[in-house]
Amino acid sequence: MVVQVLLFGGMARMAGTSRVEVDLGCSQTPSVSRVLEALGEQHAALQGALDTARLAVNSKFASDGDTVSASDELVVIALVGGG
Amino acid sequence: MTAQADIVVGAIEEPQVTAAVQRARELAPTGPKGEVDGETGALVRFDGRVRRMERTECGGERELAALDYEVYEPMASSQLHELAQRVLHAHGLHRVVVLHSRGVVPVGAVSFVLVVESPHRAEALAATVDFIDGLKRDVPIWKQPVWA
Repeated sequence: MVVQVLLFGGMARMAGTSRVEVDLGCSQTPSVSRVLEALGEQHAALQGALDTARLAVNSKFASDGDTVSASDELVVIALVGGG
Repeated sequence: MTAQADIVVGAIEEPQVTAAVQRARELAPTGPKGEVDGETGALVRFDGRVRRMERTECGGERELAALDYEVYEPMASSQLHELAQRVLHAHGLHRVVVLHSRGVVPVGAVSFVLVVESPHRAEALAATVDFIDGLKRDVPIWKQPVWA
């Protein structure tokens, strides 16, 4: 399965784009932790920022064990800085 | 007990704050109406403004013209509202009103307003700190410098 992951803020600047593809192999029910792991493997520029990153699935923070599907909207959220 | 959270385009102007507080009061017709009803002993308002000098990644400072706030919607609005509700109940507040900018806000202008009303000062002050910590941690809003 290949998913699209949206990037904002510093993550987007590091990657040079606001959207990246992540190949999750043959799994039809990949976990959130697998998405973040594969994101770091396939987009080395983001590796350093992923230690503190969380994944939002369809506009809600997801837990590591939650699963994703190809139609979900995925956003990786590292440090935010509003205010 | 009511919580009101709004994302507004550009700098926050005073009439927008007044209108948001009024809406929050109208949402609780049977609850405390504000500082004139005798129930609210403390009203704390925090304004976040765009500072002229911004720290750079190299450890120095550089002059800003503005900050450009990037907002991931609808998650930012729902997280702001959820945070306002959590802080409202955790601290036993009467009311929380929050406004946050998206887009470009020039130096000196207001990009964030938090109004907290409670029976006593201690919970209003603690709630203000708690809310801002939560904002920085859980609300997907990022600021991009626009250099002078």
